[in-house]
Amino acid sequence: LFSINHRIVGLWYFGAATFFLLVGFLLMLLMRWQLAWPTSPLPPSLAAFVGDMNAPGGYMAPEFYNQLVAMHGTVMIFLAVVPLLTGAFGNYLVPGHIGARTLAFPRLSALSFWIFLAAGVLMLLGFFVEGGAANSGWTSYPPLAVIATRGQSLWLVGIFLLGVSAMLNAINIITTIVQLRAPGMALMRLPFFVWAQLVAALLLLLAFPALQAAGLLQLLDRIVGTSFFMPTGLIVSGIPLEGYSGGGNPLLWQHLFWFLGHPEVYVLILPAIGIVAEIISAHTGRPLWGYRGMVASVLFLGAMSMIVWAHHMFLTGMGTSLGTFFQITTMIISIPSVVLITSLVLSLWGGSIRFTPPMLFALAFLPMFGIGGLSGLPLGLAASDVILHDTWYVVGHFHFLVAPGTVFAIFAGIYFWFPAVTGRALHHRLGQVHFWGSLITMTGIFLPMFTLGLRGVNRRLYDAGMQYAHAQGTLGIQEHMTWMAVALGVAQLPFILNIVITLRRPRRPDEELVIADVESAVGGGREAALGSAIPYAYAPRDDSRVTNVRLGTWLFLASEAMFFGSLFSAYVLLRTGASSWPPMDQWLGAGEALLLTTLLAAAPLALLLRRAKSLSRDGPVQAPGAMPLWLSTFAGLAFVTILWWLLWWRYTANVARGLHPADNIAAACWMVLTGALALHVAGGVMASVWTALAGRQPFEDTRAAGVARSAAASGERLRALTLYWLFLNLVWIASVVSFSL
Amino acid sequence: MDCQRRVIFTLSVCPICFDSAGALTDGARAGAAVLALVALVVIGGLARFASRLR
Repeated sequence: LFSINHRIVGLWYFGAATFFLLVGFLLMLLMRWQLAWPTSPLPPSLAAFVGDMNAPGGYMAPEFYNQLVAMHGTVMIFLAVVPLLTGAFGNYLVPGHIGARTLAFPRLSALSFWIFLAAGVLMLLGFFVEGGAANSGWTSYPPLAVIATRGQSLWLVGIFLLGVSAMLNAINIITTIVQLRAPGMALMRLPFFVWAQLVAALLLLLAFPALQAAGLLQLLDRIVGTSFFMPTGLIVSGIPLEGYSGGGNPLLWQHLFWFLGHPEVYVLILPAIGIVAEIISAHTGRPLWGYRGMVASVLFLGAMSMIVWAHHMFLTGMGTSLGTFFQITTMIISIPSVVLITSLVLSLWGGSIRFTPPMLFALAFLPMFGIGGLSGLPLGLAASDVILHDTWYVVGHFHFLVAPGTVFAIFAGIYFWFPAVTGRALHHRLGQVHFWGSLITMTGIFLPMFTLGLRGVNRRLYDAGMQYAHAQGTLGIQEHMTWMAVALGVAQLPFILNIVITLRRPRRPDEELVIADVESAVGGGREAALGSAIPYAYAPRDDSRVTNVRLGTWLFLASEAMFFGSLFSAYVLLRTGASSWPPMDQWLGAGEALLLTTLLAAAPLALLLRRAKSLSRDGPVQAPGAMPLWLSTFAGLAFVTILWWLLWWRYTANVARGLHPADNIAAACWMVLTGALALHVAGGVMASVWTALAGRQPFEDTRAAGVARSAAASGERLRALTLYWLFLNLVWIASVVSFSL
Repeated sequence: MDCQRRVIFTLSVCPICFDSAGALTDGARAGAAVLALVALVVIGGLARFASRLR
């Protein structure tokens, strides 16, 4: 259960994400039922399943429909497709693809899985709390999300945990690819699949913290009553909203959300293209056409995806100047996508193509991705987006990318690597039935959505628009789409049957060879996955000149920088929009600021001085003593205590002056920045204590290698800790300086 | 008028970057310069790191 073997963790990811995929599918069937027959009650069995509260008298409540919409999107994107691509395929396949025996940080991969699972369960638990699950869409736009029922808080905690899980997994995948490549596996010889995984991991690492920061702020809005996203004078259902002081900005959420949201769609699509590329190459017997161009494209795509986010926000009145910028970047980002698809199509040219099930799915991916991508162009241009925004057209566009696009790539990957994982090949004929059934039904579901959208039907109407004249002609189409969705479910039966039959049948003679290899790899156990078996854990790699720990630390700090950067940009945006801003001495006097700065600076300085001393000494390297670590611990503890005491001490006086975080946006900004920093300092204190205690005995795997190795290992830990403390100093100084301005 | 401007402020980020004449504000210029500098340093560091990988 606590295995840290990358293949086993990959399989766990696969199992859990497939379960979530099924949950997402069932949520979709409920939605589709409602859309097809909005005036009829649910069938008795379904009505009993969803309960009388969600479907009074068998008729689905609109509130429940909203929960289905929000949770279908959340489950499919965050809990099913991304974990399948990066968690399952990434963990399982990346080491083998680069000639490595394990991941760089085997424990991290297991940890990221368990956090992911906890987040998923937490989000789904929302269905059982008062008011049901989150019901504000997967985008959770405030102000409605802030005043939504309790399930939204669970959603926010879940999304924060998912960010942690994604960060750990991303650090692991990137470090593995950079550090653990076998000799001769040069960057430009990496399989394209690995490049795609690398870029996807980078995107998750750098983009997710923005949503974590936003989630934290929304949680504070909901629980503490701050107004980060709540504008002044908000009126809900004709009644002025009480309990919020206002001064916030709902658009702030949209910016932070889509700063993750758009890179996230490339996390959904790039690994899928990687899978398809590998399968096409294997089934044509040729190398990929234009490999170098594809690598350049995927890197360019990754970088560009960070600066297109506001094309989701053309309707916010952002003005033509900003709009033009985001339209141009959006048009530019379509170029590398076309390069990728063109290269894949040209890779087919002159190949001896075998139409096995994985190849069928991979081939179908190409036009489906093409339809999804091309239908996105009108949405990337403000003039046409104004008309198409929030219609079924958008739903059709992104489903073509993700459902017959990414999900087909996942199916292709399952058929393709099933023999390598289980030592048995899936049945071809059943696979073909599965493919054609899925292709026809998926097209049947998603193609009509464009028609609905072009006719102007809004996407989130729980009665499918039956109250509107312009939607009357589309109600029959809704019914057709629902039958197609049911048929899609039926079309998965051959697939499930195929897996069950294949796993139960005896192995064929030609399969015995494969399984011997797989079992020896999986059976490696804990020792093989840990410690000295991992190269460059403590000694730097020749070309990168860093150890795994150091690279991992830098990646972690990059992610942290994005997190605090997001909090800072929220602060800047809110401050620019505020009519007045209290001076700094309301929170912190000059003397106090100096004291706190000195204390926090002492933490890394103690470690740096110790390091300088050990470097200047001649003779063999020795494990550094624990004294500097205790000093850092003490400095950090003192910092947190004094900061907390000062805040508390001022609290009463500030409340009287109207500077409670719930009353004043400046107080809220100060609270969240210093609070997040204080929590990080507390984390640093714990890490220092742990390092000091762990440094007292040699590592399990270094006993044989002697003291020098142990010293190198604790040296790495000290260095990582020093970097972390220095980073916290930067954040603190930036907070104090920017609040003093 | 001020009230109206406030509403626009609250609803859009645009006024941070652009004044009413549509020109870039000083704050936006300074911010863009700092961001560009940071981006250059980060990209430069990354490129240096990547170029020594074999």
